[in-house]
Amino acid sequence: MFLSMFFAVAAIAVAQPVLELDYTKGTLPPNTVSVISQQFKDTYDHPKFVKDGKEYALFCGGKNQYGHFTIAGNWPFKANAPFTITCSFKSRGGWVTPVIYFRDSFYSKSGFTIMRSGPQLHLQIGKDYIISSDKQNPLQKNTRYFVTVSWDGKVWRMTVNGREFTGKKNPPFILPSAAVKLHVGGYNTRTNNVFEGTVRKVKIYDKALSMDEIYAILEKEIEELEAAK
Amino acid sequence: MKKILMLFLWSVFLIAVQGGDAICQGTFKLKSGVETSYRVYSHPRFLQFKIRCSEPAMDQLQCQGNIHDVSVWRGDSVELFIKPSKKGGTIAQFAISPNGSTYDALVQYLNRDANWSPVGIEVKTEKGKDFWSIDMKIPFGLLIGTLNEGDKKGCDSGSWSFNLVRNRRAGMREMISCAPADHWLEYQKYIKLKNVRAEYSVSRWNISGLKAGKVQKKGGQYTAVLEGTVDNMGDRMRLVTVHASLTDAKRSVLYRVSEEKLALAKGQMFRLQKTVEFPESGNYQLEIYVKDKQSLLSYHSVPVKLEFVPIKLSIVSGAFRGRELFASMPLKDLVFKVQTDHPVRAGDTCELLIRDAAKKVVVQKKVAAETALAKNISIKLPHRKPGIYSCEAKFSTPGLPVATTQLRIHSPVENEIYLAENGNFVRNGKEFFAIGGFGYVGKFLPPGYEKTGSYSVGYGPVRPPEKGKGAYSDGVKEYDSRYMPFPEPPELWTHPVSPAHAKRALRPIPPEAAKRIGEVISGWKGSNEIFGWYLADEPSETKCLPAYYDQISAICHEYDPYHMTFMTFQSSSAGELYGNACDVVIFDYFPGFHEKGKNHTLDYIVRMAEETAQGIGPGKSLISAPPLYAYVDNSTLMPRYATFDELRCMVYSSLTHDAVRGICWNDISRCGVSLDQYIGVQRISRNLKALEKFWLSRNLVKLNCSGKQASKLQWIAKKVNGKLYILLVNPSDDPLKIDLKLPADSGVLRELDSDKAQTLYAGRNNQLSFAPLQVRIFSADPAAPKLITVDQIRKSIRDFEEKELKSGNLCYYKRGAETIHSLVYVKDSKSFRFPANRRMVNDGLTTWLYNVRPFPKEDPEPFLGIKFKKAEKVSRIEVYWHSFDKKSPDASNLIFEGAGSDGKWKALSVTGCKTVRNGNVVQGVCKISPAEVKQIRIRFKVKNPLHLSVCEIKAFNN
Repeated sequence: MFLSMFFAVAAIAVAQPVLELDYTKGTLPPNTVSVISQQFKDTYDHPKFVKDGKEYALFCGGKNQYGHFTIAGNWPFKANAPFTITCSFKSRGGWVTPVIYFRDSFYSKSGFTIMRSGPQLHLQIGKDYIISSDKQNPLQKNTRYFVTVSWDGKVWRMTVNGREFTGKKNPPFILPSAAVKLHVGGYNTRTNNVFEGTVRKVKIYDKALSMDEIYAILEKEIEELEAAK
Repeated sequence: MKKILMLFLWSVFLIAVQGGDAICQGTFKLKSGVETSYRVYSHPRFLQFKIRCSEPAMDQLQCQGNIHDVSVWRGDSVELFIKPSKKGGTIAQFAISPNGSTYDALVQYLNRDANWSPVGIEVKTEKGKDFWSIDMKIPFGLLIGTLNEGDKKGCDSGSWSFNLVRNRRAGMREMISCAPADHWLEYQKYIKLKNVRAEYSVSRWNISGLKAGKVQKKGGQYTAVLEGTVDNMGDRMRLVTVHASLTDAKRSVLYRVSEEKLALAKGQMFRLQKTVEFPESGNYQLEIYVKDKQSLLSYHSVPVKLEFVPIKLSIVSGAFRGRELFASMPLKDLVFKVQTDHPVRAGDTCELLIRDAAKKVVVQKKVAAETALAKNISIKLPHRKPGIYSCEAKFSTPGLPVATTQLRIHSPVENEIYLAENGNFVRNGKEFFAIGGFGYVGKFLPPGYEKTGSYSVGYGPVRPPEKGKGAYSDGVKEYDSRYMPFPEPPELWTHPVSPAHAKRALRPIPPEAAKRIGEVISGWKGSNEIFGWYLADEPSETKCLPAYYDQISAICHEYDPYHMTFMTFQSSSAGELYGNACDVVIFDYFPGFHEKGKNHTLDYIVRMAEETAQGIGPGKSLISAPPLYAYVDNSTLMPRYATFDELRCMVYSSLTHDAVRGICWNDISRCGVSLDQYIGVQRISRNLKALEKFWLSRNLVKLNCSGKQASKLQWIAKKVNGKLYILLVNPSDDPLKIDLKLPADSGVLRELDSDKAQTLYAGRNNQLSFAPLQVRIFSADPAAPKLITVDQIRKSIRDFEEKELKSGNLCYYKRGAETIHSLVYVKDSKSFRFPANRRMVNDGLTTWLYNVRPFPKEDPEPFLGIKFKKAEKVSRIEVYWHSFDKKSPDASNLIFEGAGSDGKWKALSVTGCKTVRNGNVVQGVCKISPAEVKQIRIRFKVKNPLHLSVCEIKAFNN
C-alpha cells in the first residue's frame, strides 16, 4: 500500500517553473515594473494590488480599459525552444485586452499574445487568432480561470481551466527582440487595451507541459486558492 | 503481542474504511422470526448501508430479475428508501437482490420515475451459510442532486431519513418494513438519521438543459448534437470530469459521447455540446454525470428521441390526427408542414399537391423551397368527396425524395367523436366537456338528481354485442353514457397484469392478435355506445413496450377512425413513452398526505397536468381523474375518504390547467361509501356541466395576482362570449389572501357559487381571502349559469344524513347482504397500499371500520370492530382480510367481544368459523350465538402481524 502511495505521489509531481511572477504577496516580483496608462497617469487612484482572500492579486486596468499593468524583463524564452506559460486570472470584462502580451508590436509575427476578446480567450500570433476557446463556454466575469499556452516546437496548444484547444495553423515561435518585455495585463500605455481584471500568478516552464502536468499544476493552484481563503 | 498489534492495525484500518461508528443501526424481524440487521455509516462523500439478512433457507433463495431495474423486488430482496431533505417529497428508492442486481427509481411527490438509473452507486452482496448481506455506498451528490433548489436548503445533517423493507421469498413468502410506515412511501414515519456528515457544498453541482437534436445522416450512421450544462454551485474551484453518454432505451448499449476533465470555479458553468453517432432513429437516454477524484458529484439523465427526418410532410391543422376529415368538421384550410434535414438551395421550389385515389391532382400549390421550410403552407380543398387522398411535397432540390402523407375524407356517420383543434371533445360537430368515471356513471345517482355523466371507463375486454343486447348497450339505455372498454387481447385487460401476460406484451403484437382487435373494433363501428378505447391503465415499460400500444392504436384508428384511444397515466414520465398511442390521456393523482399547511395531492396536480401535457405533445388533451379512494390522513393516521371540500378543490385545481378537457371520477363505484362523495360528486358534476362554456372556451385571459401569497393561488381566466370568467383555487390547508387586478375591460364580476357572493371590479385592486381549500368562481356574464352553492351542497349532505338517520337506515342503496364493493386497493406488486375506509353501511347497520394499524399508542379508543347507532342483534360476523400470504388468521387466535349500552366488553360465543378466498381478499365467516350489542370488536391472542389488514367487517342477524 505504501509503495502504491509512493508511486501515486510520484505520478502527480508538479513541474517546476523557470520563472514565476507571483503577485500574491502584494509586491512586485523581481525585475517587474508597474506601469499606468498615460491618460490617467496622474489621476489613477486604484490600489495596484487587491486583497483576494488571505492573499493579494495584481489589479489590472481600472479606467475604461486604461489603467494599470506590469512589465517584466529577464524572461527565459529561447529561440526554437519549447515552453509553457501559465496564468491564473479573474476578468471583469472588456474587449481585445491582452492578459499576456509578449511581442515586438501588436501585429508582429514574433512572440504571442494571450488575448481576452469579449467572451473568448485567444492565442494571437501575427494578426491571427490561431487558437480560440469555444463560444458556448464564454468567460464569466469575476470568476477564476487558469490558462496555459505551450509550444512544443511544432504545435501550439492552449488550455482554459484544463480544457484543451488547438488550432489549424501552427506558425513558428519567433523570439522577439531582447528589448521586449513580458507584459502582464496590458499592451502599451497609450491605447485602451488594458486587461480589466486581476492576475494571481504567471509562470513560465522550459518545456511543453503534458495534460497530466497541467492538471497537476491546476490541482496545486486549487489547493493554494483554498488555503488562501 | 503481535496479535494485539495486528488487531489494533485492523481496527484502525476498519475505522478508516468505514468512516468511524455507525450513525444508525438496528434489527427488525419478520413474522417467522428471521432477522434483518442494518448499520448506516456517514462518510464525507457517501452514505453507506450495511445490511445483513439472516436466512435459514439459503438453498431456497429466489433471486428474480438478474437484469437491472426488472423485477428485482419480486424475489428475495431488500428495498431501501432514502429521503434526503426535510422539505419536499423526493425519495430515492432502491431494491437489491442477493445476487447484487438492483432496481432504482426516483419518487417525487408520489410520482415514480423508474427510468432513473444513476451511476456512481457501489453495491456488493455476499452469501453465507445462513445469511446474505449487502454493502451499498450511495454518493451524497447523487441523492442531493435529485432535489430541487428549495428542497436542497432543507438538507442538513439531521434531515435524512430512510426505510428498509425486507422481501423474503425463501422458505415462505413474507415481508416487513423496518419503519412503522403504513405504506412504503409514507416518509413521515421513516427512520431518522442524525449526524449525516456530508460535504454538502460538494453536492451542489447542478446538471441541467440536457437535450439532443440536429440529427444528420452520414453514410449508414446518424449523428446528433447533445447538449447539457454543468454548474458549480458549491463552495470552491474543483477539477472534475464530466461524463456524457447515450444509451438505448433498454440501457443495453452505451454510446460514449465524451469524458472531459476541467476545472470549474464557484459560480462557473460548463456547457457541453458534443456530436454523437448512433445507428438508428429511436428513443435513447442521455446521461451526464460529474465526478472528481474522490466520488460522483452529480448525475442527471433524460429520455431523448433521436429521429432523422430526410423529408417529412404533415398536416398540422384542418384534420384530426393529421389525416382524418370527418363530415361534421367545420370547413377549414388544410395547413401543411414540411421538414427536411437536407439543405436546400436558394431558388429551389417546393410543389405541394393532393391526389385522389385515381392519382388525379385535386389541388396544387408551388412555393419557394426556403419559404416551404420556414413556414406552414395553407391549401383550400376544392371539395370534400369521401375517399383516401395522397398529399405530396416535391422539391426541385436534387436528391431530395418526395414527401407524402395520407388524407382520409370520411362519409357522414351517425356517431362522430373526435377532438377539435382547440383540444375540446366534439360529438357530431358539437363541442362538449366530458364528465364520466371509472365504472358506470349514474349508478349512484341520489333520488331527484339529474344525470350529468357522459361516459364510463370499463375494465375488461368487450366484444361487440348482439344487436340490442349486451352489458354496454344496457348501460347506454339506462345512464345515457358512452364507454371506454379495453381492447383485446386479454393481456391488456387491466392492471395488475400477470407476469405471464407481461412477457407476451413485451414484444411486437402478433398478427393473430392484431386481426382479433380489428374484428372487435369493426364490430363496434358506428356505434353510439363507444366513446373511445381504453388502451391501458397505467402502462409501464416492464409490462408493455410503447411500440405495442402504438400498434394497437394504429389498428383501432385504421378500422374505425371515430374511436379515440385513451390511457391513464399515474406518472408524468409515462406521457413521453406512451403518449404517441393516445388521443387523450387520463391522469390520476393519488390521495396524498396532509401535513400542517401542506397538501401534497393538491400541490402537484397542476404540475402533473403540465408535465403530462408536455410529454404527450401537441394536439392531445387531458382528462383529470379526481380520486374517490380512501387514503390515510396524516393528522389522524386513520384512513378516510376525501371530504367534499377536498374533492371539490382537487377537481377545480386540475381545471386551472388549460389542457384539461374533462373529468373522470376515479372510481365512481366508491361514491356510495361516503356521503360527501355520494352527494358531492353529483353536485360538482352538475356545476361543471353548467359551466361547460367556461371549460370549452380557449380564450385565455391573463390576470394580475399580487401579494405575498399570490404564488400559492391556482387560477385560470377565460372569456366566454366576450365576458370574463375566473376560477381561483386555494390548494393549501392554510387561509390565503391575494390582491387581484382585473383587465380594464372586464366589467363587474360576481361570484357564482357562494351564498355570500363577493363582487370584483375592473381596474381596481380587489382583495380576496380564501379559506383552506376554497374554490371561488366569478363571472362578468349576467347570463352566467346559476350554480348550486357550496352551502347548499353542504346542507344537502346534512339533510340527507338526517333523513336517513331518522329512518334508522343509513344505507344509501340496498343489495341485501351482498358486499357493495371491495375496499382494498393493491397496486404495484403489493408494495403500495391504501387501507380500508372508516365508515360504510351494510344491511341497515352503521358499520365503523378501523384499520388494524397504525393505532396511536396513547389512544385506547380506536379498536378493530363495529359501532352501531343503537344496540343491534347480531348472529354472524364476516371479516374480510387482505393478507399477503392469502391466509386468514387462525380463528382460535381471534377473540370476538361485544358491548351493550353499558359499554362493558364481554366475549361473544363463537359457534363456528370458516375461511373463503376471493383473490387477495380472504373472507372469514364466524357464527356467534345471537347477542344484542352496540359494539363489536376483534382482538388478537397473538401479536397482530403487520402484513395483514382488515378491509371490511360486516355484522348480520340471519
